[in-house]
Amino acid sequence: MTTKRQNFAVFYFLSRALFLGIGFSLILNITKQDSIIAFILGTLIGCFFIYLVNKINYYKKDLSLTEVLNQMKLPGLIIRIILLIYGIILFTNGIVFFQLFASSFLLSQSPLWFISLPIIVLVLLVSKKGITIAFRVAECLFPISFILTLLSLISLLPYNNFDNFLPLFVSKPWQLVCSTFYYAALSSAPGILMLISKKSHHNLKSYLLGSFTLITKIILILGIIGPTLAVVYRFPEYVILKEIKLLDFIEKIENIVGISWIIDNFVFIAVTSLFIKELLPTKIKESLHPLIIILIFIVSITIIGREYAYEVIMYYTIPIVLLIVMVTTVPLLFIHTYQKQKKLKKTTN
Amino acid sequence: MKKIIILLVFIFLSTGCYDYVELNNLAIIPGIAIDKIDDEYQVVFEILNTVNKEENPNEEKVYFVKGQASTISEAFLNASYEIPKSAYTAHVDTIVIDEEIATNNLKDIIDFLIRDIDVRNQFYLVISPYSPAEDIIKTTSTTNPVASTSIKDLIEQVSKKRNIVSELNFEKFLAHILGEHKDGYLTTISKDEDTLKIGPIAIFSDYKMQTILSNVNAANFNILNNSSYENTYKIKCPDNAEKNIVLATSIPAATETKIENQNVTFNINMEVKVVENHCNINFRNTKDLETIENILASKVQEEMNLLISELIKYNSDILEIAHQYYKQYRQHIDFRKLNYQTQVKVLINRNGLIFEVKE
Repeated sequence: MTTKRQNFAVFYFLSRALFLGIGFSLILNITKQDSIIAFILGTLIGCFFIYLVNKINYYKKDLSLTEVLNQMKLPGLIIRIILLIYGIILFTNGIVFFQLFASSFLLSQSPLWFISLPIIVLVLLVSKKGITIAFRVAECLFPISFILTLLSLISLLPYNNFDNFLPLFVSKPWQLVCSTFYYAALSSAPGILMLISKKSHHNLKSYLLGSFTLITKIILILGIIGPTLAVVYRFPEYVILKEIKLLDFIEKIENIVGISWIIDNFVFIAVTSLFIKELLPTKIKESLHPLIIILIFIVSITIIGREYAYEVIMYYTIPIVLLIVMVTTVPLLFIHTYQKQKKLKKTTN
Repeated sequence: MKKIIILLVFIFLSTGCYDYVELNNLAIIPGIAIDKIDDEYQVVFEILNTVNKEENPNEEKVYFVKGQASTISEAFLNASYEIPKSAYTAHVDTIVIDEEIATNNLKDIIDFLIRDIDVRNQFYLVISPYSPAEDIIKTTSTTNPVASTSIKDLIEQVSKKRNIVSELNFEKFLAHILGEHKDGYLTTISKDEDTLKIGPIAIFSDYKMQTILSNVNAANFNILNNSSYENTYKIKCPDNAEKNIVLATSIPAATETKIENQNVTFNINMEVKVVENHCNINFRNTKDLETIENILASKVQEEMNLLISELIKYNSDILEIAHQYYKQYRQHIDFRKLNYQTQVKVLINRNGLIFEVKE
């Protein structure tokens, strides 16, 4: 059984994880300084989807996601397949962008397998122990990640130049709409992973906290390096950390502060792994799950993580995949669980 | 036992030991010089000497290695092959480039440096227009044993005193040069025997260096850019053209740029103090003070107009006028087509501890 605090921590990590290497870079590329507006509008749309996810969790009560999908028969089977593919894509994305980040800034000489093997072993261990351990780990990591994030945000504030935000509304309306939906998808779609939790908790505050850190970060990115450089850099969220100078003498600490991104990614990968396990056929899930994880690991170190073209494809397609899955599965699950709940109420009356 | 094995595996896998390099095996590079010689790039690394000073007291603090190739990346590689250690560029303070690179090859250098993972973009990029960049980076003395650190200190100190240098680090320079409605500027450096002399400023149009501003123009640019600290002015006495009065800004001059339709107005406010007086002026008389203030205002106005003419001539929008215009009117404009006006207000607020010296 997971606690309220654990759910809070996991949801916080999930709302931020896809912004490493994808979110900031992609949205800044589309809307430059208007990305701030896109982030704020996207949060509002994201809140709606988080509300739906919360409601699904509330209506399904103690049922597992598999049990809910089994109730839905054929549509349930289709949603199950979609969500399983979704989980595999997210897991692959998590591993690939973790490798990309670590090999770009932290471990430039290490081979890819060496970088991601510890994560894979840990994820397999956590998945074997179950959701309680995974959520407990997230709860323990939350204060570390949050303090590091706060430290980076506070120490970067003095370098902010508000002149860089102007003029606002330079992008076309379709670009702003596109960025807004990309933000909503990247921040709230991983919330679907929370359907593996049997206990219902309201995660809106956690999502808003995650969004607050992301909005502050985009303000700092634009304020410090300006829209021109923000578009040029591959990891603008990391590059600005190079500016940090604590008390005028503690500098070059970007690798320490940047660990918060690694933590986000680790929790994201662990929860995705549990999500995949949950959706696999019950009889073979124990044996099939490690095989899938190892297969993704092999594919990510030999093909996707090695060839730049695949990374670019993932970079552009992930938000679209998230949007499609979010729009198709969440409302259907919501309607089903809502109707079930209504029926249950009628019969009890 | 199972837990111990897992723990051991993690100790080896998650501590980043694969990338581990002993500090003694790192060649820490605080400065780099890049020249264009015979259509090839020549790169000189200034490397900190980590030999024990107690054992070898006469050892130089830095040593140099050189690499040459047709592309900048190959030149960097060739230079690093000369070092028996791992080249470490994360601590680069200064990169010196020669005039040829600043004029014709800046884009190549920017593309290479911005891609590099190790190089932090907080270093200073300076231009050596009168001597090869290699000579600059190799200029060491007992007081300045590491040229790159001296250049960095000079930029940070001189910018506060003489106002003829630019405080833009590489990242800020990038924002200017890559930005849509602005141009970049960099500090120049020259060598006088064993002494390094910093300033004035070289201006760019797009990726090409156009010219080097005079000291006066560089100082006036810093006033218009609101990055001026202290300026000194020598003006002729109203009653005797052979004698002078010297005034210095007591607080940094402040400039407000106003854009109205096609007109750009620079409103400059200067508060100055008398630092040297050879005129027959009565500082108890406010009219005399007003005369001096007016003379200085006309002089600054004249100088500012000359600066603006030069920027227009070289198509270098280092004052970001087109950017400000775009911010205000959402229209792209050629800054050269606008009308410029300068209004200078001078106020003498201090005359030192005396009224006058008796003739």
